[in-house]
Amino acid sequence: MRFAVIVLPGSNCDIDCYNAIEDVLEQPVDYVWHKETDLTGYDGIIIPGGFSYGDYLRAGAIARFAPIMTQVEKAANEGKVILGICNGFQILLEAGLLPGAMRRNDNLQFICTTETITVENNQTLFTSEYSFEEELQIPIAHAEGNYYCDEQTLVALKKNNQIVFRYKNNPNGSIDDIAGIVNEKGNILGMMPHPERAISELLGSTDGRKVFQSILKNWREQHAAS
Amino acid sequence: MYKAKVYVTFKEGILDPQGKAIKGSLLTLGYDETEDVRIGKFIELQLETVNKVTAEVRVKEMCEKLLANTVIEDYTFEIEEVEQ
Amino acid sequence: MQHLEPTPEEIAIEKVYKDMGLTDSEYNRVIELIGRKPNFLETGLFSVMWSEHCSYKTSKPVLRRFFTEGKRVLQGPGEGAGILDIGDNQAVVFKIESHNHPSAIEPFQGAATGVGGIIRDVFSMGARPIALLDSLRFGSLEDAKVKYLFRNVVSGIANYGNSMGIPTVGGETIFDNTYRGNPLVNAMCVGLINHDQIQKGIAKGIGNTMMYVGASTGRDGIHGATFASEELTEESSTKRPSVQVGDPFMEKLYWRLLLNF
Repeated sequence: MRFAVIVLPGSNCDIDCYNAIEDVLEQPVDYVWHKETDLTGYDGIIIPGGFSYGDYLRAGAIARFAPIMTQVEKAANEGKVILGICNGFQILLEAGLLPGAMRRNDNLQFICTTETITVENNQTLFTSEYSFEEELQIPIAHAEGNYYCDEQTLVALKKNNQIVFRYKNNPNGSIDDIAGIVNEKGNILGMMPHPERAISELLGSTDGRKVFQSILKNWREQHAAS
Repeated sequence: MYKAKVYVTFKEGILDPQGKAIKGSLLTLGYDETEDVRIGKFIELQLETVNKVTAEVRVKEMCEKLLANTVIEDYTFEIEEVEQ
Repeated sequence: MQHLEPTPEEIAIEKVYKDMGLTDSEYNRVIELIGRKPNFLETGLFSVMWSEHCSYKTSKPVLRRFFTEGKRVLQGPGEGAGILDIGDNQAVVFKIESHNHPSAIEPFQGAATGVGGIIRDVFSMGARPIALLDSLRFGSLEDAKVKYLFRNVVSGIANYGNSMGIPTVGGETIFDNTYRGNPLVNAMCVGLINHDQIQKGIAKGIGNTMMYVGASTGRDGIHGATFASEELTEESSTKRPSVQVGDPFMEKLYWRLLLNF
């Protein structure tokens, strides 16, 4: 399984994501610069955290117009696996690939801490290796992680089982304690916590490894079947 | 030459934590009449379009596409003709 | 073309150099060194390079008392940052800088640009910045002004580091009334490098291309270093435009450009 880590001007978790693929999955991975216009050779795409374009205007607002994003959309429509972490999640929201929007954290602070999040849906391409309601220790680091969507969208998210992760002790005011959601089709995950920072004991937690392991396992199963 | 002034604010009913903090601060300073504070963005654009109608159409498009996130934000704008 | 800048004679007679922060004796020393009266540009250059901010002229005698030599020292004073060998062909690159004056006038931007400066000094040696630290001194937090300074200095440092993807991993803060009007804001950046990747700011040869890169600057960048070296007075606030506004996004791009990772 071949991975692309999208590098936007201002990305700063690209190396961590690259290392996570190498260390946890031992799969081929490339950095793909935002000006590239071809993602056809990749099976999985990661949009890493950071401050793309300085997060000027709104987090992710300018990044969604980067040349590579049309390819990300194309890959999304083809059903490829797309994982947006932190700023990556914000970009996916701005691009309309996931529903809702991000607001400033309700305490107006940049929050950098390790949170307990629960697996609300372990039937996704990203979480099948976890057990239902498993509690994970995953770091968060953001100023705009206060997820919002309107009533209608929230009902739909619940009905389709799209809420994948919830905070146990909501740190940022996020609606319905939401920490991560998938699209209706289930091939795009956006999450504020950083699984790539929880892949070794040295970093304080290994609870993020199964996000990557789930992706690989499901891809292999799909491709063995076809 | 036209000058567009774009105002972007949170939609009604969306919690505005910055506005809330500023309201608290104003009350502490004794401005008891403060009922509500909404914070937003002010964006000024200089435009070279053939006429005002075109400028309006273009600015509306800019707001929808980039300047505001219509999931949580509303926008208004005014356009005036300026000397080059 | 009409030249609006003062001539060398006017600079001498009207003591224009004083506005730029050079003293009479320093100005005379310049004449002695170059053998004539400096023009406007040269006066500006000397005033910047001989400012306290750039030359540490009053603190140098104290700084000289630090150890600067040893078998682990790969780079002592004289470059953008110091380098210590940590074995395995690796080395740590250190830079610490104070941004006291700018922070006292505009705490958020003052502290933020202090961080920006040291990060630049570390990656321009070829190293990857990996951590920030700070050493801060403030007056008592019961004072509303101090509280304002404290809150904004801390978020200025944090914000700049976060935007660049460099964590602030530690530091120390002491509160004492001595620092009421003049907080001390010291920030430190630590980078990691392989021995063979160390870059130094030395270039020799005639006809080489010189490129000067950085964010575009306005009034804020001109005489910023001179301002940072002045004694703080009540009027300092009116010079507020002399405090630079940081652009971490732009710096992140230069970092990527230089290290090409």
